Amino acid sequence: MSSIRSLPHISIRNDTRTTSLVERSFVRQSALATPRALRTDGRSWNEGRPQRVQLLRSDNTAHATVQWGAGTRVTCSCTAQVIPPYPDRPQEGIVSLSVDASTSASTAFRNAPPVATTRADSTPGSNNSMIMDETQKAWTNRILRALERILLTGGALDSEALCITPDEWVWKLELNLVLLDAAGGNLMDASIYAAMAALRHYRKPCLEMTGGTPILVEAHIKEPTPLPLHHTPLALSFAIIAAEDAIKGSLTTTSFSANTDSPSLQMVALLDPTLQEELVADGSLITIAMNVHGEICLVDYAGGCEVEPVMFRTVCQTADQVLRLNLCPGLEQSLEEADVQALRERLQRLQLQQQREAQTHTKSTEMDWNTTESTTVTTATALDVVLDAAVEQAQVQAEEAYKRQALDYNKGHMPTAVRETSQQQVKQQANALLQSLLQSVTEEEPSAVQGTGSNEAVKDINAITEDVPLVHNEPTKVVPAPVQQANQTNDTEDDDEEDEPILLQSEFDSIETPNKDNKMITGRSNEKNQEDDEDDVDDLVDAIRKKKKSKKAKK
Amino acid sequence: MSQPWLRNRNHLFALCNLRTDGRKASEIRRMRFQMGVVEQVAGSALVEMGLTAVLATVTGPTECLRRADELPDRAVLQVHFAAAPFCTADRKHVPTNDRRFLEAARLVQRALEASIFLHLYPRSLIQIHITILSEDGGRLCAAINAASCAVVHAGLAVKDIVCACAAGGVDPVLIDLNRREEIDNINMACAMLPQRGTIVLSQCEARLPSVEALDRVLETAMDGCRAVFAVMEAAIRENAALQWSSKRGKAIVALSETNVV
Repeated sequence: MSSIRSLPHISIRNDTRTTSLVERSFVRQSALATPRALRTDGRSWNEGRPQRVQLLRSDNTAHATVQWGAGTRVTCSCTAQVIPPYPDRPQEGIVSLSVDASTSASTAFRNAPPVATTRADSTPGSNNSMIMDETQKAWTNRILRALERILLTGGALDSEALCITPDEWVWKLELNLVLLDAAGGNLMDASIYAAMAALRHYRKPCLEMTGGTPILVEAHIKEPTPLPLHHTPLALSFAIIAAEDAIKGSLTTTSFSANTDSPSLQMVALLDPTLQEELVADGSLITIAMNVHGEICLVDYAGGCEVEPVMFRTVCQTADQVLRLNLCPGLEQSLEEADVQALRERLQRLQLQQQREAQTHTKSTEMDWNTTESTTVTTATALDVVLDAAVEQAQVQAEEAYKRQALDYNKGHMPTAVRETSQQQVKQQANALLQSLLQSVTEEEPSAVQGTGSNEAVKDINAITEDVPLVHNEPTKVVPAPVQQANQTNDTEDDDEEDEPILLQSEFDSIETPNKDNKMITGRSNEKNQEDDEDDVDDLVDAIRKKKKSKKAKK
Repeated sequence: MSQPWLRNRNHLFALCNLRTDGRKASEIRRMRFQMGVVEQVAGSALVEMGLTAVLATVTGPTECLRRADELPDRAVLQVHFAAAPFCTADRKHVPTNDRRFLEAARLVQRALEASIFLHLYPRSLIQIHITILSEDGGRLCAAINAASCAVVHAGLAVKDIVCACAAGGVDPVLIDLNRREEIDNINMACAMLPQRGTIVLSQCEARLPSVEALDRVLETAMDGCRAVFAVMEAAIRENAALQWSSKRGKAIVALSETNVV
């Protein structure tokens, strides 16, 4: 790398940001065609592209990844920390934005540090190794400034509301935008969409003041709160393409009247331009940010081409319509769905944690088991949906895992190592054993209570599908009721189908998925119920070997 | 920062519907144009809008510094934006790659590109340096005015003289906001080509209640631009007349070339 630095500066003209003359004239002339503007992707001049946003939320962060049309992708992450405020603004929180043009976005982007609004910017050693392209810097700067103006100057985010204790502690909100893919053009709109989505989806953790120092409380202890956003402005950009004579200008042009309905200069404004249209446009984009109430939050037209007021008005009205009808509702919907999803996952996690705690504290008595059951039963109604979804997911995964194993010739007929069950699981098994024995005796089919061999076989059947609860042979009542029902139906099916035991013992990963973990533990415990003694591991292994030998003998 | 004499009169102003500096809602500040203040460059202009003073110099058209930068069919316009450390009340040195300055430079560049006939100067470079000498609101507009005046002074071919003015406030809509009025208020900076009636720059960040409000503010800004143009045009004509008469040897030399409104 040092050799590169010592070379004289060579600026390589980027091919992705230049257009050929043919391309340029084609795009421009078709855009200026009357009566309708023709665009290369078939849209009309006031038609935007569909967008999709993926929202993720975890304890102190939120991520939003926006796919804007086919070629543009931007991701934004939002996080916060508590720090003392700046001395000259003791009552205000701090919002730090940064825009990073990733080099994966376009070959036109060079490796450069992100453009940011933090004050302490410079990191030692980063100054000399980056060749910052002026265009790139201007571009990322434009996005950064637009975002800054929408959020801070425009008042979407109230920085005074981010203050915790004046003069002592304030929230510092960090918003990091990464431009992932620039091939579709119109990074500005996508970036603002992503930033707004991340801000709306983010939940600020609660604070606990311990001895004057605030500490962030984790999400599962106290519910985090959303940010104080007054409104959600979203942006739309227009590319201006003007006829050649309008640019070159004729010196004899007289003044234009500002009140005519149709512009005298022939020009067209294209909503949501693609990269090509952006590159051949005269002047920069007109970006208009509005919120769902119809308030204009940002008007950014940097110039480069003269625009008649009539055209400007048309542009604003179009933006108004499209934003209110399409863009804002779309974002709201995605946010709601993501919120519901996050809530679901949180319930799952809570439930799992409850169960885990219950199991760790369980002594070898039925009482504790019953308490677990009661707690889960009381919340069963709320968790039904959750558990059904989890069961479905577990089924699918189990099938896939089975297929994988069945087709793996190397492992096909060899038993995989059985995991050493921990003390805890042994205890669980003991607990479950008592319960299930009672029930299995009453309800089980006689086949299940046969000798060790078939029991092993049955166990092995159980063991095939990695998600154990599906494969129970006997109905087990010790686990929460809804899960049990699902297990039961599946058990009978499996039982009917399997003729010959397949000697696969699957690895039970208790860390696979949280929802599966719960069932896995109970499943395993159920599996062991068939044994009368508690040394399940060794017996199982022996049984498998026995079985394997017998099977090989058969073959 | 607050002037005691003005502070005492604020309520009087409010009674007469005047602004804090005694202007009516539709009045622009006192404007003063000086051209040719810097000798070595092709064109220069010093613009004062109220208490905001901006100096702009134009160098070019010259050869590009790097051959790779030049465009084959038109000139490259580069704008460099800087603020003197003494421009605000508290002296502070702002580095030149501050993102606000970058943005402002870009805006000035795009606004002027709409007006200068760049295709008449292929493969060359036109550089504009803008320095803020004193800041009291409306610095982007003053910068654009100064740059466009300097461009005319440099003799570059332009479609029209770019004039800029800011408008803001909802009701009533104020023209040419000063620093106090800029804070927490709608502030739309707008630049236009007054004789052609077209907008070349429009920037607004605070919340406008509706598209109609945007229209109103834009209209007001455009009126402001036309008022600025009146002053600028007079200054340019006077400067041109002075140069013409000095060429013919019949100049009436004043100690300072000013056009005071």
